[in-house]
Amino acid sequence: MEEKILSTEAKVGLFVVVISGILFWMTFKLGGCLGVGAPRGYPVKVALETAQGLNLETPVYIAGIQIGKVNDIALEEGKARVILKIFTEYQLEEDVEASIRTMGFLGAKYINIKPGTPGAPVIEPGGEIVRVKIPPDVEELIDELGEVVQDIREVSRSLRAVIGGEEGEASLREIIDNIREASVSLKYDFPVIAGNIRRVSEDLEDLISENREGLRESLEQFQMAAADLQESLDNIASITRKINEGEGSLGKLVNEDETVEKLNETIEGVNEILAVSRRLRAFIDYRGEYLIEDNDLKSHFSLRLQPGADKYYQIGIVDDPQGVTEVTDVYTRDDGETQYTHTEVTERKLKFSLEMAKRFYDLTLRGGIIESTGGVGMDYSLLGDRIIVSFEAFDFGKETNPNLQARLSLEPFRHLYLVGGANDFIDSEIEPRYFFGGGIKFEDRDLKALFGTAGTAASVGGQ
Amino acid sequence: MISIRNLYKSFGNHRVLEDISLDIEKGETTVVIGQSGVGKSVLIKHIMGLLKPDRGAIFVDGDDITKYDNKQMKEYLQRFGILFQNAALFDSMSVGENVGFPLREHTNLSDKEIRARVAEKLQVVGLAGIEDMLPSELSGGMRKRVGLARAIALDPEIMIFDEPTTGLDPVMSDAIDNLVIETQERLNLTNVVISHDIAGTFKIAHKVAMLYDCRLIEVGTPEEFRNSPNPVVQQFLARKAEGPIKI
Amino acid sequence: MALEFKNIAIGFLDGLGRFLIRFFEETGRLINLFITTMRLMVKPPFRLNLLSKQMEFVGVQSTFIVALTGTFTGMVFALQSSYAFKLLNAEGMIAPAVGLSLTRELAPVLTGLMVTGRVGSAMAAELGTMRVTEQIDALFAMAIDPIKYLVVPRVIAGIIMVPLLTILFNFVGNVGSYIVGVGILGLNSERYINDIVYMVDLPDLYHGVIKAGFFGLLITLIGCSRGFYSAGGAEGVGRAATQAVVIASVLILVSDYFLTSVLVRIGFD
Ligand SMILES: Nc1ncnc2c1ncn2[C@@H]1O[C@H](COP(=O)(O)OP(=O)(O)OP(=O)(O)O)[C@@H](O)[C@H]1O
Ligand SMILES: [Mg+2]
Repeated sequence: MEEKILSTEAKVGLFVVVISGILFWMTFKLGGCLGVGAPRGYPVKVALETAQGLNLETPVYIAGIQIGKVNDIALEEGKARVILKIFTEYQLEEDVEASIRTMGFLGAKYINIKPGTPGAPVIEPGGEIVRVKIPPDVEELIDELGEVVQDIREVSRSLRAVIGGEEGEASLREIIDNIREASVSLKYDFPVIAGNIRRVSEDLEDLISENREGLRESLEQFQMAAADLQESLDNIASITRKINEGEGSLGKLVNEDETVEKLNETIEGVNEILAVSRRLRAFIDYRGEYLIEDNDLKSHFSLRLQPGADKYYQIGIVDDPQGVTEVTDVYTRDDGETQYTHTEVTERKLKFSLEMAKRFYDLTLRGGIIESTGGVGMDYSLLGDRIIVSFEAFDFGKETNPNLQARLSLEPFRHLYLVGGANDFIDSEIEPRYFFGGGIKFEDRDLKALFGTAGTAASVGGQ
Repeated sequence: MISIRNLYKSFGNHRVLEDISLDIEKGETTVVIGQSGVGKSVLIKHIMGLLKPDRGAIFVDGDDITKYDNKQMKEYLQRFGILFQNAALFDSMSVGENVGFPLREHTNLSDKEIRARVAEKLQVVGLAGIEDMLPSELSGGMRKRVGLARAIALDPEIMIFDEPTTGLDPVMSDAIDNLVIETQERLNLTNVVISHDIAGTFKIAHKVAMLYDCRLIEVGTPEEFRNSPNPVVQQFLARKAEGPIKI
Repeated sequence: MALEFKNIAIGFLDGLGRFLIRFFEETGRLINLFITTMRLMVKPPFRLNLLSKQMEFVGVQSTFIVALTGTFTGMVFALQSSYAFKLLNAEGMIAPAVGLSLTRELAPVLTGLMVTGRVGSAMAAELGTMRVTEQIDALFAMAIDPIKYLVVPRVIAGIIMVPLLTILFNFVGNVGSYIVGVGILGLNSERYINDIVYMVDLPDLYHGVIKAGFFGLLITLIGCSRGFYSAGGAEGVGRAATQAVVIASVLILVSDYFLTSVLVRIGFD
């Protein structure tokens, strides 16, 4: 018989030992329950609105590197109290921000930690991550979208009831008559207004050319983002098409009606979400207010960037006939006597606004710089933004009370609206100053054309 | 010692054994003869418990072995040494391992003692020194003799030989016949032999039984057989194709 | 005409009846062999030399083929799933997808099929040959239980070695997927392993290994049964080998479904 280097028993023994070794290694790598080999860590608490999708072992990442895992989940005062086990070699600053994220688009959840300020005090074992951010998840977005659609439907129905009825028609005619009257009476002011508009547009041009580079950059970034999204959409569309045509084994597999339906539903959902994120809307708004007392025109020019349905940023330029009043108080010591000079210089000069707004259902709260001073405002919209009641308070620096303005705007036709209101209407010392006027508002697509022109101009100018 | 009573066996519609009754006496050699395919091997497989009869009983020392359970069967079988018609050597084992197999399984002998016993048994069948060969390397006759060596390895009290000399040359056949007689006389064995070799049969048999057309048509001493008036028996003994036996 | 139809109908029913009887006979035989094997498994004597021989045959000698299929299964699976997951920007899902499919399904089933092809047929052929050359009868006649001697070590070897081979398959499969994911697709190495470890849990591993044990039993039991009860000479032996492979493969795939649902129900999900 042939000589064997290894006996049968030896071979089998070697085989079993090696594979058992692999099994052992995998067991505590996967289970980590043996304690041996599992990284040591310390507990850190975090309170989350929802622990949906989390489980024990859910990893915690900073910059894509696992620094811990979920160790325990409990319900506490209606919130999910999640205990993280952070590996000993990592430390978290107190101002880190935790959020639940999804791997890929439909993947598993993980906890992402945004690093804090280097050098800030670190969280001790047993401490808590205070800052938590919950990005809207896919389901919520879809739900919200459904609500918005419902709202729009309701509003348009009631608007149709208002405008469509005989009564509505009559009031509409009245409004138009008023405008006609106003324009007749404004006729002689027109050269002044035209001059103002020209000046505003000159200023605007300056502004744009000064910021041309930045504007172009942000435009490019915006276009790139849109292109990325478009690509993803195209990819998905191409998959669906292939699947629909029964290409590949997947296609054959899923060409069952129910599966296809479900898949289409999912893809629709994805499209909707992508559409929402793509829909960074922008509005350009010009509004002229005729100040009755001053017999002059105040012009507002604003650009509103709206990344989501519930918030926007607004940059504005205001040409105010009242101008900017610069107050200088000078105290001089002259021969032991204190002299006090108070100078108020009012100069007709462009004012700037920069506001952030957040919307809660029909109520929008905004704040920031209003007409070159700090201010806050609120808008209450009716009939789906066709009627807006606004209150604004700004110019707190005045010796008297801040300027309080009430304004009502009506938008009977798309893009065109009417305004009327009063300034300083609660100031007891000054009579309220009334104004009325009209405005024009561009949206989305119209604006895109404008952007395109700006982009071209910028690139031409850049050469 | 072994009493077969009214044994019936058929495979499906094919009747093989019908109403067989035969007494195998202790210390005697009983030879079963008959045509090829008549059912001789089937008969001895019943004695070994490898086949269950459709009807009938087989009494061994008063017990009906057809009713034995596994354990009783095991004990019973340990009294046997069996040579299969085709030797039935284990292909995966060498000749030495084959012959030593019953010793390893049923005795407490050491490896050395087993080797010695294996060498001795191979010597007896005239195949000394082929322990390390594989069954596939042997001729048909050699295989049969190795099977014989394996059958006698345990020195059993009952030996069953299914055609021990078929396929062997005349000299070797006679040597095997002598071996059967010698071991039987020395150890007072009970032998059951199936054979087609008429001369050998008359040399070794105390009792001859002839199977024909599913039945035992003649049972008796060799002397009685020679003088049997039965034309079937006479045709068989005369080794003639012409006669009452249908081919 | 009517008579002819009647004949056909009778012929058909006759054939169907025969088939059913044979089917029940085979099933009963398999169950009987299974019960006998299980009973004999715990009864001495334990023939460890026979067992280690079978373990070498079933396990050690399958190492290469299992390692090879495992590696390439992992590699091709990683590559294929990367196309799909890339479109969804979910490359992080490649590793867990491959890992989970391997541990729960691919490793036990593919190992089972490989072992069936290599071992099931060989066992059927070997035992079939022993049957037709009366070696099994010889064992019986030598007062040795052929089931204990031939079937038990083979079945034990199957139950032990197929799970071990499955673990090997798992390991090399994930190594293959790692090679593709990190080496070719350029994903982060640490992240790749973390993703597997995070998504694949111990119950998943046990899930696959338990299934593999069952497949090992199925393969060896069917191989032995086909061989042990084979008839009809060399042709019968060949048929037994083929049938062993076909029946075992089909039963692996079918029982996989039921095993999965049972295992999931009792908590191995
Ligand atoms: N397991 C079995 N299944 C079906 N039929 C069988 C079986 N064993 C034997 N037979 C049939 O029984 C009959 C007797 O066979 P047996 O082997 O006993 O013949 P034999 O007398 O020993 O012949 P030979 O002298 O050629 O060895 C044969 O026709 C055979 O076909
Ligand atoms: Mg025979």
